[in-house]
Amino acid sequence: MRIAILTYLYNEMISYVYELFPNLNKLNYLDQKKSLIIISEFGLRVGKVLWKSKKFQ
Amino acid sequence: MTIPTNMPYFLRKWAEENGSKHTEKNQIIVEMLKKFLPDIFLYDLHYDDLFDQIKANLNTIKMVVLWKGSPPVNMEIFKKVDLTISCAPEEVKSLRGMGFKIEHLHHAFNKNILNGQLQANKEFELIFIGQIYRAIGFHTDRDRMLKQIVKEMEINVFSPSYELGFSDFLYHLVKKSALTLPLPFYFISDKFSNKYSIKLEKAREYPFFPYSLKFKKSLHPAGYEKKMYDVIRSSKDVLNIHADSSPQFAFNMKLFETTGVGSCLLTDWKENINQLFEEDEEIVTYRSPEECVQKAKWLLANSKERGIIAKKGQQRTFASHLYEHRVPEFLSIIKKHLE
Repeated sequence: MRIAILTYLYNEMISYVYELFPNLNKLNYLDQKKSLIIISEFGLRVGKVLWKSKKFQ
Repeated sequence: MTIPTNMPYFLRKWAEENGSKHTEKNQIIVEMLKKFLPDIFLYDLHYDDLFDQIKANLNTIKMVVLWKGSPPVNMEIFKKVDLTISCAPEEVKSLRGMGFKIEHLHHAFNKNILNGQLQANKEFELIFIGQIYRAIGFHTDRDRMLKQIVKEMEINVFSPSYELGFSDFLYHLVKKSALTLPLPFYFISDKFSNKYSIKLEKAREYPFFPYSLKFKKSLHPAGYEKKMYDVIRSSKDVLNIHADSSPQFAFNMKLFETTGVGSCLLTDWKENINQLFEEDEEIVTYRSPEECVQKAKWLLANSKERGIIAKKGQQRTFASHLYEHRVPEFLSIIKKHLE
């Protein structure tokens, strides 16, 4: 089963990610993705657990 | 696959690395999905053009699922999805009553947050973290509770309301007046227009001020993610007050965030609270402002008992309320509806 999650980050969350990773825009797609999963927001967390479970992409 | 749709550099980087010619956000997202070909599509956004574009361009999707929190959204979207999953039991009850397919799933705690260095010193006594907007249907209970509490004891309130200035208060005052002053006219002409009750309701719901000035001195700027968890962790008691939209059931994030980082939660009693936590063992509940103040004071005076409750609350969250627990529930909901 392939699950796609479309989510939205609050501006404050985005500012927080940029605080931690000031060069975020320069990172490649995968590294940007890894940086974003520090956020505790529903879509990203569920996505991370699914991804870690390996059964789902 | 998870796509944060409002991170333009993230989307552009994907387009660049995958040889896409698109530069427009929605087109990139549709292309990402076309390459991925999902069976299930979980939409954690408000209804907009993107939703329609995805539905028009991807006919392999077996089920479109909407994730919905408590705030109101455009009702149109419920007609366009196959299933809605919501953390708010009140929403589930009401939408199910209207004939929509909807299931309940609680929020959870992200245990990874504890991998970072969280503050350990107890710097604050009693705190509240959250939005405060005293319009009817939003946070009138919060506003009322906080107003009562500041009379009796010290509380630190971390809220985006801290940022509101004189112009915001003036705007509310002017708008409230604009809504209220024409009411006699609508009352007199009601026979012809039938607008009086609608106008009266609008005027009644709108607040004079965005929050009560009585606790202005207790306000601090809001923090997010690690900064917020640091504040929770450095507080002896964390007060939780659900929004007006949840008069019956407990379900907000603060339940899991507070207990998850190991602080003592003092929350408003709801009829499902014992399904989530053992009352007065893993968390403390109150049913009135007076009881809240009394229990907050007791917890501050009894650090040993407070520590035991906080520890048990954290153990319960680790045992039952992590995303690792929610994802299997989420998948079984999906499977049930696929069948």
